[in-house]
Amino acid sequence: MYLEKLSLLYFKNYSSLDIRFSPDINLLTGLNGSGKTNLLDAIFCLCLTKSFLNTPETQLMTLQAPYFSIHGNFMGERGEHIIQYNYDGRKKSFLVDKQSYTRLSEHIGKFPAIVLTPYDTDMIRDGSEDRRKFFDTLFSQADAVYLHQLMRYQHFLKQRNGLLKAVSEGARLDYVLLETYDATLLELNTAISYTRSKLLQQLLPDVFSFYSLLSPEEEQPSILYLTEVLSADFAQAFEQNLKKDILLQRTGMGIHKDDFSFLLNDKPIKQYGSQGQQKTFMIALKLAQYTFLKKILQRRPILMMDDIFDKLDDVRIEKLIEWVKRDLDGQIFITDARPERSTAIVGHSSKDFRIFNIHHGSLLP
Amino acid sequence: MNFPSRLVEEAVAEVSKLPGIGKKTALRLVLHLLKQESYVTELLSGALLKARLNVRSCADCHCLSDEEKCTICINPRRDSQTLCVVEDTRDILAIENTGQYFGKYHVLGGVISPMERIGPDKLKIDSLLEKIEKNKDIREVILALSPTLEGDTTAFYITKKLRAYPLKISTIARGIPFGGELEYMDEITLGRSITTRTLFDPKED
Ligand SMILES: Nc1ncnc2c1ncn2[C@@H]1O[C@H](COP(=O)(O)OP(=O)(O)O)[C@@H](O)[C@H]1O
Ligand SMILES: [Mg+2]
Ligand SMILES: [Zn+2]
Repeated sequence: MYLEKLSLLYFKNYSSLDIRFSPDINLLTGLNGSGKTNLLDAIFCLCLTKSFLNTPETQLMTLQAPYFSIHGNFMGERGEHIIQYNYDGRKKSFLVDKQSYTRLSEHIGKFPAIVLTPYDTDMIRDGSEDRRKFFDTLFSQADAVYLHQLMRYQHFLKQRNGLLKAVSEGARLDYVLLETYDATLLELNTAISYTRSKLLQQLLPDVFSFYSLLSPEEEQPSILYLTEVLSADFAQAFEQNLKKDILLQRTGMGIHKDDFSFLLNDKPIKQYGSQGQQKTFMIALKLAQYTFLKKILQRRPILMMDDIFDKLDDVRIEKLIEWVKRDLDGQIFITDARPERSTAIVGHSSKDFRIFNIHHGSLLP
Repeated sequence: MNFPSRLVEEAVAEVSKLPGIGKKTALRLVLHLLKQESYVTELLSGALLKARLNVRSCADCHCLSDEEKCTICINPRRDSQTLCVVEDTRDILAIENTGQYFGKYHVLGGVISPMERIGPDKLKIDSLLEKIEKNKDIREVILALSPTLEGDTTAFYITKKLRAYPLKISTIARGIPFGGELEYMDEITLGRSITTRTLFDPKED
């Protein structure tokens, strides 16, 4: 699947834009603040129904504009699709081939897209919640049952916490009701944990091979899934934690406490990895995500790389570009404020590539 | 809205407190009544007031009733071996409209949801257990609760509480709507319909 044509009206710093892309390699150049990232965000909005920067819709509209609209023509394995995303300050309309969805979430997975950004390494340092969210989002696309189980889990966890709260405020503990929630949560804990561990194992070989593709050193990246749930005495420990749960008014054990630890040569990359190693790790993880989704969805995701060449050494940049030119079989968008660097390396490719020079929200000829 | 009449404004404010009625609809309703003869409004407000003052909940099944016991509970022709547990009186109306059920009812008044501060003690669950303890002729309990996570939890909870009694406990079949096409069904509904599949009986219908 690739994006052939994109039209923007009043989207961020673009008041109006019509652009035709290459099915292979697209290089977006321009000074800082010219609108390169915004253009990627527009593409992401069509693919995943929302901004990858988490910008609220009111701020996706050009300042003072009455609405925004993003239209894209995608060429898929089964013909052309038109996606239209319009917002008028109040109502969002999201149409695929003029049809709306009953639930917007049905769109996820149909037009997959992945963005690599310089901020990806934040995930290494941020709290466990961000890492869980990354893997949950990925695994949910691979497994609809997993998504359903996660949603049920979140819901029943809230109900159980509600029950704990009532008890700590003096209500009598209804053991039959507690058992009802505990039995459901226990079952979901095991199922979710098992899927997390299984799908992570499927992802890891690709993380490893992308890392070694980029890095000239002999380094061994790995991701460790940390959970209490799969230990033999989890059910018992969960039960014994009840007093503490009541005191704190929330459930202290379960898959909502899981974490994923990123390792390089068996040591946490958060403490022991250099900036370059962390960057390489995240690129490898994102590219592994790309191949994972491609396999699962049977569609080639659109790949976007936003300013990732900065602070990456020449060897790694060259290896990455080599992979794009030789092995990538889908569409890619690369932004770079220094065109001479990327133009030189993207050139001499057998693939079709186009360079777009962006200036203040419009395209220079 | 700025009304030239304080009285109209007050009436609109009251009407718009009703669920599903906004300011605009409320204004339309009030203006409509003001255009009619005054007896029309008297009939309406009289009926509402009388209902409000006299309707209570049935001592047996807790549905809305004019008398101490409702017309279904005192009807000797209803099958008192079967008890259908529902969330509120509206569900009784829906089931009665099918013309397919001849047993009695029990209205819970909601479903269990601790995060909304609705525990089992806020619902008519104890009274259900008492009823079953006392009425040995009840043979079957049908749990006709909404197919939500709360509805399921409540059904599961009641089933656990009733385990000690020699009862047949069933839940209404759920899943694929009549005339629905399989390929348009979401996976969850379809999966659930398959796990709770029923024997095919061509004589039914
Ligand atoms: N809602 C908006 N209306 C108008 N301009 C906006 C809006 N949101 C962002 N911008 C402008 O877009 C520019 C940033 O564009 P960006 O795509 O991040 O640039 P870069 O080319 O460096 O990636 C900034 O100048 C910012 O002021
Ligand atoms: Mg940028
Ligand atoms: Zn009654």
